[in-house]
Amino acid sequence: MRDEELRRRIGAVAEHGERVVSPPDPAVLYRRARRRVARLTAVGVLVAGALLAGGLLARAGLPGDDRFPAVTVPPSPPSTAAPPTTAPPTTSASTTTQPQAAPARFPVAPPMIGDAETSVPMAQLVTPSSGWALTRTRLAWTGDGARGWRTITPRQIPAGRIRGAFFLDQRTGWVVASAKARETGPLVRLAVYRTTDAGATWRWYSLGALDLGKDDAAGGYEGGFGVLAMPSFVDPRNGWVSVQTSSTRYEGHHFLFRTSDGGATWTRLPQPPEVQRAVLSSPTRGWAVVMGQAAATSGPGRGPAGLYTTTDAGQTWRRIGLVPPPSLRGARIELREPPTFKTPRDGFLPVEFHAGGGGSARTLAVGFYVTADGGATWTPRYVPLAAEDERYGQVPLAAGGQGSLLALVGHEARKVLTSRDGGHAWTPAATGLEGRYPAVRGLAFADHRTGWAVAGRGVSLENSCVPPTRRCDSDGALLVTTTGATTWSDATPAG
Amino acid sequence: MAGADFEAFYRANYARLVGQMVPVVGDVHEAEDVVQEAFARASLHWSRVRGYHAPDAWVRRVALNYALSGLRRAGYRRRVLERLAQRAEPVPAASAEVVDMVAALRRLPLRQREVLVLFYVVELPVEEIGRQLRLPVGTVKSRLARGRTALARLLGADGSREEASHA
Repeated sequence: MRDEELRRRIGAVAEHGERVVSPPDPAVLYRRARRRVARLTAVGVLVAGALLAGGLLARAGLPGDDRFPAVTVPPSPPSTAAPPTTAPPTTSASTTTQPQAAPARFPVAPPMIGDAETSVPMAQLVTPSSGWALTRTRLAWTGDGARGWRTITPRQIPAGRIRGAFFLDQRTGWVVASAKARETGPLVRLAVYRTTDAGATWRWYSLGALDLGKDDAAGGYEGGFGVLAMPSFVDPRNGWVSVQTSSTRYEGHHFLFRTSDGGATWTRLPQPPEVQRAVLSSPTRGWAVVMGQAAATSGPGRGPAGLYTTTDAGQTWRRIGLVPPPSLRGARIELREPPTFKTPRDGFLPVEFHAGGGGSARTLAVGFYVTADGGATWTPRYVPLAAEDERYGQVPLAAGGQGSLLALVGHEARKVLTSRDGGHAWTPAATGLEGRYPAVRGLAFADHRTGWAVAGRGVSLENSCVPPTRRCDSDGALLVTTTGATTWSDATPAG
Repeated sequence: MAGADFEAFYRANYARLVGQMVPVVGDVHEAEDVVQEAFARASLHWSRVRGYHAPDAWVRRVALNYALSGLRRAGYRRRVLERLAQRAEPVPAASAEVVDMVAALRRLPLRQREVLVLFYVVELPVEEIGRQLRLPVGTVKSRLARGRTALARLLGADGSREEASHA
């Protein structure tokens, strides 16, 4: 049988199926989802009960998890590419030596996460003129506003094994890499690489093997990210690595590690909130967001979604209630990433405000909860959205500083809403992105003018690539603006 | 729970994904079951899934896994049959050609059907199929070739169904 004939006949079966069904009410799905959650919860209770009966939890010393006891992992032998000195780093040329709550000299924007299969899955704008971008083949650094790039990939590993990175300043950075290019088994082995000389040399330290139990890590597909291992440092010594793995059972596995010696030794912390990334605003104060819609509340609230904080360096976490602005009373607050702290006191938590439910749900406004006291109080700053500006998907939001907030809204992020007064007044302008880079996935600004975006060229949720093609899955770009998001240029490093 | 954007995504993609699952599972009701399960999971993780490049590909992958999962097989037939019994409206009749093709596909191993559908219906290149299924390209090609050969044999050179002697 010829290929065309086979295609036609199998296609006819699919067309028949497509023609004769119509989607049942979404409530059917929601009931099914609730049953699934109830099933998993019941299984979890049974497993925990069995472990308790056997006394295993007490032996592990970690309530709820005995697979990976909290141990301090001894440092691995220095690699051949190690710098001449073996002393742990205390400071670098471009950071201060304050012992507590040392802020980065420049505003630090969070790594932006795309898809593991895109050409630029993640990047970090470290200073207004410098930062890194990960491509398929290299970790690249720019010091001239993304006009030129140099390769800083640790020579021991190919770029395809890098699962996350973070630079505190222009010299001091960390990379987390996996032992394999694609994890497919129950053990995920990770190592941390540290540089204090702008990527010229790297030392590596083992983070240990993460045991997923009877589950298997999902190589790198299943939505793309595979294994994310995102470092976050507040000074040259104190930092975390948040690890999230997707799996063949579609369950997330979360791990959190802490170091207080610049990455030479790591301690696994008790079960963290289920987050992709936790960030520090001081050596002991940290922040994390469990993504999803949290009912607005002034108290701790129910359900996992919400903003979490720790004041004991990740040993314990508590959920913080957020109060919606009076004009959006009753709105639900959608959270998706931890706050960005520009200084130990000034933090910005991106949010969307949603209203209604079922088929009538809609995005009322986007903006930030802003703190100027290190997270003791959070104040909403937002801009209501016109119907035509609602996006089908997440609205890219970024803070350049206390006076500078931005939101890319509308179909294909065609419009930027900018506030220069901390979120009281917002001014719209065209971005020029429409039709060029339909999916903006990450956005970070160093100040009110200079920002980076990780964007997809060939695919967005509005145009979800049906059928998916290689181009849809692989194209991505690093975009740079120096005009407050009104003009953008493609600064994607080659490779 | 997911909101309006999830429901818009769900309504826009449901029928197409069910259609893609029919050649895999060989039955419209079973296809609806696996796709509904996949959308239910997507609703639980929507804040993450909606950020993916192709959320529909994620849903299809979950549906395929569910269809292929040994875990669901024990109670699955019973649940589908119960639903079929309760269903008010029967599925409109398919053409003889579709019936023949479904019968032939059902005689192939599920793993071959999966690859055939991703190649011929979803129109993915073999490299992409390998990436999605986490298989070497060579394995994809061999499943594709075996599936083609088997279908040609089952359907006969003229496209008509072969008799049951090959069962």
